[in-house]
Amino acid sequence: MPKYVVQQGDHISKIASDHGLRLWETIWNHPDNAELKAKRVNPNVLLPGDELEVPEREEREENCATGQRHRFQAKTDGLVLRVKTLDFGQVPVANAEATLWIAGDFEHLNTDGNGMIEKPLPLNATEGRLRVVAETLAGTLDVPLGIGELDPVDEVTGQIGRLNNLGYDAGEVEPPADAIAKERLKSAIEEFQCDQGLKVDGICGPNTQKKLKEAHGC
Amino acid sequence: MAAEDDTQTAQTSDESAPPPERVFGLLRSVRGGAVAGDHPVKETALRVLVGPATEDQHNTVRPGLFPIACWRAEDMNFEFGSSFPMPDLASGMVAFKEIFDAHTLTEEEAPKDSTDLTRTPPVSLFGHADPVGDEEYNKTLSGHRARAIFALLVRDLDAWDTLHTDAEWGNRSCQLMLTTLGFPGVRTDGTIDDATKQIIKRFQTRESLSTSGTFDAATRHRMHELYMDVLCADASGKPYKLDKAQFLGQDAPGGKASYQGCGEFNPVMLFSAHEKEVYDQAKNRSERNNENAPNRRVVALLFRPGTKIDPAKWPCPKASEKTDGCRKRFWSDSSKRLKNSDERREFIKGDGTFGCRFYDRMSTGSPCERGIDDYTSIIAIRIVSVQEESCLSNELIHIRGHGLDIQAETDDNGYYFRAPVPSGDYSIEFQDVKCNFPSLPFGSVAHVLHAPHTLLPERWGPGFFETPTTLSGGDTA
Repeated sequence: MPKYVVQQGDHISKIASDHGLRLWETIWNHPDNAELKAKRVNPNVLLPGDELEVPEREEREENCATGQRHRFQAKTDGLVLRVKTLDFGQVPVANAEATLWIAGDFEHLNTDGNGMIEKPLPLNATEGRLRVVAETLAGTLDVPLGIGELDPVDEVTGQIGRLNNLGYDAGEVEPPADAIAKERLKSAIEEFQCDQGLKVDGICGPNTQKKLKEAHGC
Repeated sequence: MAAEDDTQTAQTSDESAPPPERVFGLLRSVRGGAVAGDHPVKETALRVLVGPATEDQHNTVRPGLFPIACWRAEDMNFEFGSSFPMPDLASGMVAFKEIFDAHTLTEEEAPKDSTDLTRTPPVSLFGHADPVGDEEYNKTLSGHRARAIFALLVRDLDAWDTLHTDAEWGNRSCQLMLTTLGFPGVRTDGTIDDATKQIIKRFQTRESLSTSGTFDAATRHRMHELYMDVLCADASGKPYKLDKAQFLGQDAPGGKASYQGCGEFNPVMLFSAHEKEVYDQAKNRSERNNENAPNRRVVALLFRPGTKIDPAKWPCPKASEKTDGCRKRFWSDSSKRLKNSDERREFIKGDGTFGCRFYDRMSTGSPCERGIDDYTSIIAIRIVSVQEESCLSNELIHIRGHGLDIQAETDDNGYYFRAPVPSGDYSIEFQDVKCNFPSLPFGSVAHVLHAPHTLLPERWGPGFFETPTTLSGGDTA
């Protein structure tokens, strides 16, 4: 069974698709991946360097009568991208005009009452772009999306990614390189803790991680 | 063994490395006691990393609230220990108008339903005091200064009338206003003698006021009105004003989110413990107050046009409120940040001297949080290719040094000009050439860089006088 090392931009459905598997559960629920599954919980938020056992495709035989048409239905993933937009004051940008580009294909959508948009995602999508127009956003929010690039919340890169998405400007998505980068991340963590009513200590421990995951939605 | 040595070397070099330099945005103008400039662009807000969902997970995007530009009025623009804006602030208000206009969108740039009031960058004013004296007093004073500027910009005469009485602007402020309004010969020491009374009467007569010969309420009111127009005018001398709707807090009660006092919590410089001890002795207090002047300032932060916030959720307390509200946004280690330590600490040198985390974040990279004395130079360069005997026009250049990181292009004739900048040596990179050059004092010679290998000083442009300087430089090829 081949071992696959997770790359930046990977998520489980993409890995499954790349290996000719229709169901990500085939990989995720494989006993050899139980340890990683327990560690990461969310199969779509993996860290580059994580190792996955990818089972070979299995052939399946069906006995069918000749001279007749047969219909085979394959079960596939219902992979979607959901993005919720908030304004400066953390209020959902409800019923606003939004456009989502994924893999060259775009769709005009409206955010729902909770500021959410949802779009089915091709299994191998890695790049996208979101545009939301609303007065409360000072006009237009227009951002490129790195699909599958969000790291797990217990990794510092996952924390920076989520804090940045939530508007806290935590810095480059990499372990902080110098004192200024460390200070920038610390201030972002403290601002988040302050807004969430957590103890403000600048350390992104288990409680802060939990809140961060909740606030971000994954 | 060898591997261990390597590790040790690496650690040692890491510890002895100089602290990373803060990167600041570029200044646009230095006028009188005020500076104005742009904040650096936030690069991290530009890409959102998301996870796809197989269940009910989602991702959240929220734009961060960060200023795009700033303005700062120095302590010298105010009466000492008072919120009365001195006549010299007039040149500072020109700088304000310039930066405000520079970030105002044109009708073409702005959304279709925009108005004159929504195309401008929303403003929020932050007053700062030095760490001498009582912190509640300092918050009140810095709040008064911020309010005085706000009121000046929106021509809120009631606010000035109130400040005059409550903040005790006193007779001297009236004398200074009278002088500025074209009544010379007034003494400016606060004493009202017979000559002064006569001049007051002349002013009252001209303005059809009752000729009391004193700075009564009606006289002060009219003086405020006229003085505001002198103080708050553009480069051509034409008075300008803002609408309250052009501030971040719109017209929220108490100026919430539009102006506030940070008190002594965000100093740009903190004395060493020893300096503090010496300066606190009675005989040294005047010198101490001079040294502390950079801490006493009013900063305006300008936000992206169209930015709207809910003033009720704005973290800063109103200018009239006590310091309790400030503390909620303090760094967890603010007491350490605000403490006088063994060495003098300065914000510009990378020291964390701001106690308020919220303000620290908002002013990251702000060129208005450097000392005004830093901006005494210009960069003037022309790049010429010796081999081709031609200038390098529209050439991408990268200039670095003193917290500036400028990526720019030379013009059609190979020139690049930048003023004002801190004095000192800068490095320039273009093509494969990398070299150093010094900045120049205002109004001095321009340097011409010859590419790719030769650097020579040469005369450039009207108004510059040649003083040949040898440039240090070389190539990396």
